[in-house]
Formats: sequence, C-alpha cells, structure tokens
Amino acid sequence: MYAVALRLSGDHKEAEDLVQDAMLRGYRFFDRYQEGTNVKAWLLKILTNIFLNKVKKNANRPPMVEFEAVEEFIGEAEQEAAEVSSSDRGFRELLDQDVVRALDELPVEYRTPVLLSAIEGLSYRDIAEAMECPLGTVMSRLYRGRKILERSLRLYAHSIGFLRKSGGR
Amino acid sequence: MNCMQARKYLSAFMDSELDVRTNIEVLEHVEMCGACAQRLEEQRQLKGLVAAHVESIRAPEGLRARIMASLTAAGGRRLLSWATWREVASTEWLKASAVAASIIVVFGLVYGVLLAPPTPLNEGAVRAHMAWLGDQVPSFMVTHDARKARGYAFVKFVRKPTVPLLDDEAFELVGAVPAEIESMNVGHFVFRYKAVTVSMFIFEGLDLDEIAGTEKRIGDGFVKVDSRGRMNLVAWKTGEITYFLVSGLPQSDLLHISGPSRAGR
Repeated sequence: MYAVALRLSGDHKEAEDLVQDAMLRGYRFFDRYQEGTNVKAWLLKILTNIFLNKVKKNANRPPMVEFEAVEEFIGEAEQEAAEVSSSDRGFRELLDQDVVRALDELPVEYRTPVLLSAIEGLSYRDIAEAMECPLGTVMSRLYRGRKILERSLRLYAHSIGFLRKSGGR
Repeated sequence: MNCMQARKYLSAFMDSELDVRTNIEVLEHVEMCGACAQRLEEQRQLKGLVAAHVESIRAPEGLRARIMASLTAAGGRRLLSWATWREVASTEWLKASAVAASIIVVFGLVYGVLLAPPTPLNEGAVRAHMAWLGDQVPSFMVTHDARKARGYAFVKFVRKPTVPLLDDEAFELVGAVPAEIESMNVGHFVFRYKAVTVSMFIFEGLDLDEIAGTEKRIGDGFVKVDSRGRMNLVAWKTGEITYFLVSGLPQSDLLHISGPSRAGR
C-alpha cells in the first residue's frame, strides 16, 4: 500500500498520510468490506480514491484528462499495429530509477491504472471502482498509459545502448 | 483476427481481462504471429518492471506503529459513539470487552493486508501441472496460458504427428491428480479421445455466463457447449467450481464427455 501511495503521490510524507487515511477509513467502514474478497484490493481502492479526490480538489494540480472516446482508442490501436517495432532490446537492461522517472512523468490518470494493474489480484473492475470510472476507461487508459511508459523506457533503453556502444558511462 | 485487431487487445489480454471468445482469438493469433508475440512479451516485461519496482518499495520504519496507534484511537471513539454500545456497555467489564473486540478487528485488518488471500489460480502450480501433463502425454505438445487474475488457465494439447499415440480409439481420464497439485487449487483433467485427441483445460471460478450456447443438465450441475471458429468450448459447473475446456473435438462429443461421472474430481 505504501509503495502505491508513494508512486501515486511522489512524496514520502504524503504517501504515509495516504496509507494512514486509507487504513483509518477502512477500519471505520469495515462493515462494507465483503468477507472473502481481497482485503488488500479493497484498501487500495480506498487509498486510490482518497488520492484522486485530493488531486481533483487541489487547484494547483493539472486537471484530470477527460475520458477518451472509444473510437480514439481503437484508432490509436490501429495506428500502433501499423508501426514496426524498432527495438528487440526489450527493457531488461533498465534500472529501477528509469522506471521511477518514467512512472513519475506519466499523468496521474494513466499512472494510477498502470500502478494498480501491476498489483497482484487487482482486476479492472477493482481499478474502475477505485478510479470511479467505467471499465472501458480503465482499459483505454491502461492501453495508453502503458504505451507512453513504453516510449519513455524505450528512450532510456536506447540511450543505455548508445552510451555502451560509444564507451561512455 | 489480424495484427491490427490483436494489438488493441494485447494489454487487456495480458491482464486476463478479455471475454473468453476474444481471449481465444487473441491467443490463437499470438501463437501464429511472431511480431504480436514479441509485442506481448514486451508488454509483460513492462508490467513486470512496474511490479518489481512497486514490490521493492518498503514502508518506512514507524509507519505501522503510527497506523496501529491511530486505529486503536479511532476504535475507541467509534465504539463509544455507538448508541447501542452506550446502552449495553454500562459496566467497565463490557467496555473492556469492546476495546478488546476493536483490537481483534485491527489485527484482522493488518493481517489481511500483510497476508492477502491467495489468488484463485496458482501460476506456479499451473506450471508444475503443465510439466506433469507433458510427461503424461508425450504424443502431444502442451502449452498453456494462465489467466491468473480470472482464476483459470487455458491448457492446450497439440498432437505431435511424429510421435505415436499412447492409446488410440479410447477416451479416458488419464492419471490421478498429484496431491501437491490438488492442494494448490488447480483443476486437473487429462483426456485422450480417439486417435485425434485434442483436449485442453483448467480453470476454477470461471463464470458460466461467459460462454453462450447449448445448455445441458448434468446431475448436480450443468454444462454449456459453444463453438468459435475451429474451436469448440465447453464449460460445466459442479458445486462451486466451474470447469472450462477448449477443444478441437466435435460439439456432440464435448456434450458426451462433460458428464459428471467423468468431469467430477
């Protein structure tokens, strides 16, 4: 929970507060928890919800991007399918700090589903509930978010390869 | 399904979030298309990087204590604010019980976070199961695709034309369930059927509604059979467990073999 809070907020203090708020809210509304379901997913939903509401309320933060039209989503997919993959290097050589940088650069509405989907046991339905948006939005934001992340990491991977080839560090 | 169609689904395919039909179409495409298979592998690497990063982050020292303190404090306030408790908890003994109960809830919550319930499908067990199946049926190439988040896996047997069949013209349940696999909550059947057996599976917890088609009662459960392109699908539900089979067998045969006497554990 702390890891998700940290990557969502990008700040250690804020992350600690988020976890504490989520646990407190979870405790207060424990009667709403459905026994037998994943309690971690339930608490993460609460945490994400608290965070996103804070983001919405905070005027200094950039506004949430509106839901992308399905047509646009499909259009991008088709365009991407036409692209030829230019790299077979993959992401294996990337460092953790590259991942942090790429994640932090990702707009929050994309970063949220990308992070949550990486947590074991969290379904799109869980993510949709956490983000208070339709399932289709989760799918399109994940698709797009991963694409942006992939581009950033590919750039980093490319620069690693370039530096190695030129003998630099 | 062509590359253009497949790629828009790869992300959701990887997350096991597609409906059964689309999932099978993507699976079939990826098995045939090297470029899309590579894209899928890259998607998996990407997701793995994010997951590894998230897992590497540790909460700071003292956060747990801080949370426990705040939960205990909140518990006390909450219990005192309940009108019913105010009436009932009129003695010091009952008040003490109330605090004890709140502590148990807090421990339950923390325990749940630290030791989250296992996912329905154990991927390691599926892999072990596949290795075991491969040994059992050397005349078939066994591949699988674990749908972890959805709690089922596709297991596919493809006939190796160069290897003679172990047993032709017979349909039978092969082998007993190894105890270590059964204990890991993985459904398990191996069928051989006639000379062209193609059977695949695994599964637990699949929603029967995900498959449309002919319905048939089978003793204490019921079964649905459907077709999709070259594939026939069968799902059957007995008690709490839904089993799912993808097969090249004719629909009539699927309805025949999905009876409870053969499908039961």
